[in-house]
Amino acid sequence: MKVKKAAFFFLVSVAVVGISVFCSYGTAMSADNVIRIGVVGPESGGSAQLGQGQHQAAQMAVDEINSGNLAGDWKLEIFFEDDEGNPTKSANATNKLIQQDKVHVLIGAINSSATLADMVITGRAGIPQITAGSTGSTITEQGNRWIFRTAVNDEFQADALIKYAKEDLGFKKIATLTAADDYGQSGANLLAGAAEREGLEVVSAQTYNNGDKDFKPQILSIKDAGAEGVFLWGLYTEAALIVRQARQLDLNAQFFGASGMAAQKLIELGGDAIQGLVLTQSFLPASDKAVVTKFVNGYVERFKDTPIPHGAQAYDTIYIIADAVKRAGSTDAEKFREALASTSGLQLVTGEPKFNEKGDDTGKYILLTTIEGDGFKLFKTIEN
Amino acid sequence: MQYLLNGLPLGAIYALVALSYSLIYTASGVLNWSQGDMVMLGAYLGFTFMSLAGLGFGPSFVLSMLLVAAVGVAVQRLILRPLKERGAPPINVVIATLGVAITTRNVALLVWGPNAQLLQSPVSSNPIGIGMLRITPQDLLILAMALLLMFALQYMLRRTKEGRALRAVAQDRYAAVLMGVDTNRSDAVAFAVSASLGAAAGILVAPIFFVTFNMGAGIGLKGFVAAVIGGLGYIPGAIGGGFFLGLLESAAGGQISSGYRDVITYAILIILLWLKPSGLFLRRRQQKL
Repeated sequence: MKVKKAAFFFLVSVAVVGISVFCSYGTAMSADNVIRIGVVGPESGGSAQLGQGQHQAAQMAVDEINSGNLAGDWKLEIFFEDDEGNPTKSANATNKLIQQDKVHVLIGAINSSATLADMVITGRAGIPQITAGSTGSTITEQGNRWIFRTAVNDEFQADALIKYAKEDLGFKKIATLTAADDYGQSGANLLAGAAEREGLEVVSAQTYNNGDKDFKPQILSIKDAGAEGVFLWGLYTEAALIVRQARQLDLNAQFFGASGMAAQKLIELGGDAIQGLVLTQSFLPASDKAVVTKFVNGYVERFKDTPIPHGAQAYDTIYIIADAVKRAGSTDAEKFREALASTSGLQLVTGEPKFNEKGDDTGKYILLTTIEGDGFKLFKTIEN
Repeated sequence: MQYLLNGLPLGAIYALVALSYSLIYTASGVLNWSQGDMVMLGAYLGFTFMSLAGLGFGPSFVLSMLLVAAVGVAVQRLILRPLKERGAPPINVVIATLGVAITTRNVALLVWGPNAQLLQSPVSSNPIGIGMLRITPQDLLILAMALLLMFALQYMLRRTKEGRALRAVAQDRYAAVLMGVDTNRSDAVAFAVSASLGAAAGILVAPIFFVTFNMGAGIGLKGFVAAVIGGLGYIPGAIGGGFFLGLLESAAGGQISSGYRDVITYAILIILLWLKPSGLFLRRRQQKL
């Protein structure tokens, strides 16, 4: 009896100590008002440039907010993981950030297939995920309530391009020439849908395989069909070859493209033939907006490099998170998600963010740019 | 008609690469998978001489042909000859050439990076119109240079001592040895000439297709297929096979479906080989230089 009593007493005391330690641990975490942000992106591998651009800009935004106390009494803590653009590695990285670093929100990923893999994990854990780099339209069509996107949905880009072709250029017949992969085919569908809504006729819908070198058969079909505008959806090497070969075959149509091919290399490889190509982008370093020049100057000074669109979007995403946690006053997943969803009134580098019910940012500026000389020239900004 | 015109320069390039496969195959009995990467190497060297060293197109063309020829000889001397002397089975020799191909490709990736490079053409790529048809000076240059190289090759095979030795070895290697032909030397000549033909194809195609580290895989495979169509080891057949493949691709892509171009092209090839197993231009299996 005595032994039993002693054992009971011992167990109770262990439990009390345990609980109090647990509680003090819990309060210590929230008393500091810290929100932990995980960032996943390809910092090595084929799209390393994009992941590194995201990393640097996000770190810069966190430092600005913490040193300027811009999130009220909240501090931001940021954790980075490299996924090499690989969906499996991306899911593992997301798991690690959630389990080990106990992040409250995830920014990621850049490659659309990686983002889709991460969404399964964040959806299961019930924490918000914001992708600042993936444009694939399927991401926000999964019915996943935890996903938000601060990159420009390809759908908005396709709409903007088709509207411009119809309203400003007065085109009636267009052709699409798209890569035969996820990105290209989603683009082809979006362009066809937008053209139908606007009453434009798609007279020729051609595809090509990535790595193809000879596009003359497709170009001749487009020429025979009499298209006034040709919409490309793919990467820059193929786009440059296409415009060159189109010129060789005397195809005098206006060419259009989307942000996926916006790279300096496009202009270099395309030569004379690429001049005048119209493409949509979400960010150009040269701008007269104060918020943009502040970001660009700060970035150039710190990293000795020009920021890329993915960086600008990651930078904005951190500011959106800071604003949301300030309003929510909590890192509780539900409350924080609500605050994110009701984001409004911020003036950021790539737009005035406002999320629709699918999680897409409808307040993004879409920049219509054209290639002139050796750079992209902005000629129209679409603000929603 | 325009589709056929577009297929011609492409066909000329395939023909050059097909020639390089056929030449090595008949002269030394090796199926050399690194031929495609000699095309890539030629294009990169041409790009380097022109863009970085500031040489003209002509000197760059000749220099990279010579350098790639040296690489071809090195491959033969350092890898294939020791294997042969040790009595390696033919399949191992073929795998060794595949190893050379992959190594070359990755070295190129390290040296020149993953981005496509642009080699400036010496002539304009703006089209000249002939009625409704369009052809560019660059296309004409490709055709002219390819034909020139083909005639030069014929001359070399018929009129020079090295060429006669190659033909003798191709006819009967054993008899050639008995007649005092140095087969090591003739093998080296075959590799050098083949590699330089590949390099020429690379520089000619670079202004229209750009230079990338993995360009050899596609062009190499098409060239090999062209060689097989013409009858592997039959020189006029390789030329005919190259042009046939170029025209077939261009027509299949334009008239049927662009996305399925390769599917259609290769399906026709399979049917063709089924009907004529020894190639389009040969009645029965025979090898001739």
